[in-house]
Amino acid sequence: MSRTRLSSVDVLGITLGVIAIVLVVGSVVAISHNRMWNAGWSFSEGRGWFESGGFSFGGAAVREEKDETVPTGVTEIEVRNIAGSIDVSGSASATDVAVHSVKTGPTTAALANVHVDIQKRGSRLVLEEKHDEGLFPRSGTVSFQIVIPNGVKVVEAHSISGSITVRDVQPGIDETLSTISGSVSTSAARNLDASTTSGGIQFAMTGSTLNARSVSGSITGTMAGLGNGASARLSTISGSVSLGSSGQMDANVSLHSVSGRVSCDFPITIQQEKRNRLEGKIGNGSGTLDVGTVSGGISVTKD
Amino acid sequence: MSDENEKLALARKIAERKVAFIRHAISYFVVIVALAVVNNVTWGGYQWWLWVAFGWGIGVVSHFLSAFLYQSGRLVDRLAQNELEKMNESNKT
Repeated sequence: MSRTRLSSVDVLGITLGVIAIVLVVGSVVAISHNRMWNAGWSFSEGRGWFESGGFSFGGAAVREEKDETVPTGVTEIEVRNIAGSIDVSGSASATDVAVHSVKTGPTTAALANVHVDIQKRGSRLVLEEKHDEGLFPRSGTVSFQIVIPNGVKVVEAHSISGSITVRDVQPGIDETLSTISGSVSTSAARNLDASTTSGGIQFAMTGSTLNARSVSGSITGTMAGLGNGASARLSTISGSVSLGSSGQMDANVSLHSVSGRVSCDFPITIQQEKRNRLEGKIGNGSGTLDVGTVSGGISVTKD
Repeated sequence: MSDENEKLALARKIAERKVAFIRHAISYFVVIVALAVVNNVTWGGYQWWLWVAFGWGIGVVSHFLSAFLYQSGRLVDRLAQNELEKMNESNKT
């Protein structure tokens, strides 16, 4: 009776082959049970393809909502999240800051990795989406709906992939709103710094400083006016810019587009005028109005 | 002498197949691990690397079976031997 002698190459090859078989079978199991979303590998959630009525990536979304209130004394709000929307609204009758957070994720295990961190630092309230560290860190998202009382003077909101809306708040709030993929909208800011990469910006503001930047999106808004030391800088690459004002305008004006028309309703002392470029002075020119776009028109209107 | 050469050629062929499989399997594991890391470092949600692990894995497993079980005609030789034995037995009866 002969016995086959295994060399080290045989042992290595057979080991690799067995591991490959295990990996293929494991991936088949994971795919067929639609468990391709990271859930800390608990494999306890998710719908099968057939249960969900066909081929579907990701299984059912799990949602968790939470309401929290922060006692009065807050004059500044800072919100940071990654992929959810941020909605800030005002309420004259509110005395506390009310935070409604909605966590969504593919599994409950994914939700457990996402946390809403609320910290009060003096008069500043910081709301932040946080994720547990690890090899599989980011699968859940948090959306915020925040109701603020009168008395809040500063709102700062930053998102990566979510829209930001500030509405129905009392006038006179300085706002800094930024997102990468999402729109920005605010209805009653004092000074405003708004930026987005892929999304539009809509605003109404009454203050003296306006910065609005987008890459792929239009900018539309109104401001009270421009006076001494005030500045409004609006820029986008792919989109139009429309700025309306009902108040006094005194500004050095520079409106420039690469492939769009430029127009201004205010009486302007023209220094340079082309179809796509307008430079000059409105009133005494004590403020600055600088508007630029590459692909889109620019209109400054008198409301 | 020619029989010895044939055996040597066959042995060399089998060894080459085994080494080729080991190379294939190692590159498979390296790439799959890299894809899994990229998947989860950039965005830890959908585990798309499993599709690659599955698809390419079928190829690797086939290669394994061919290199270590089929072994370049040995299976055919064994089957041929069985058939020959059957034929001899039927001739006796």
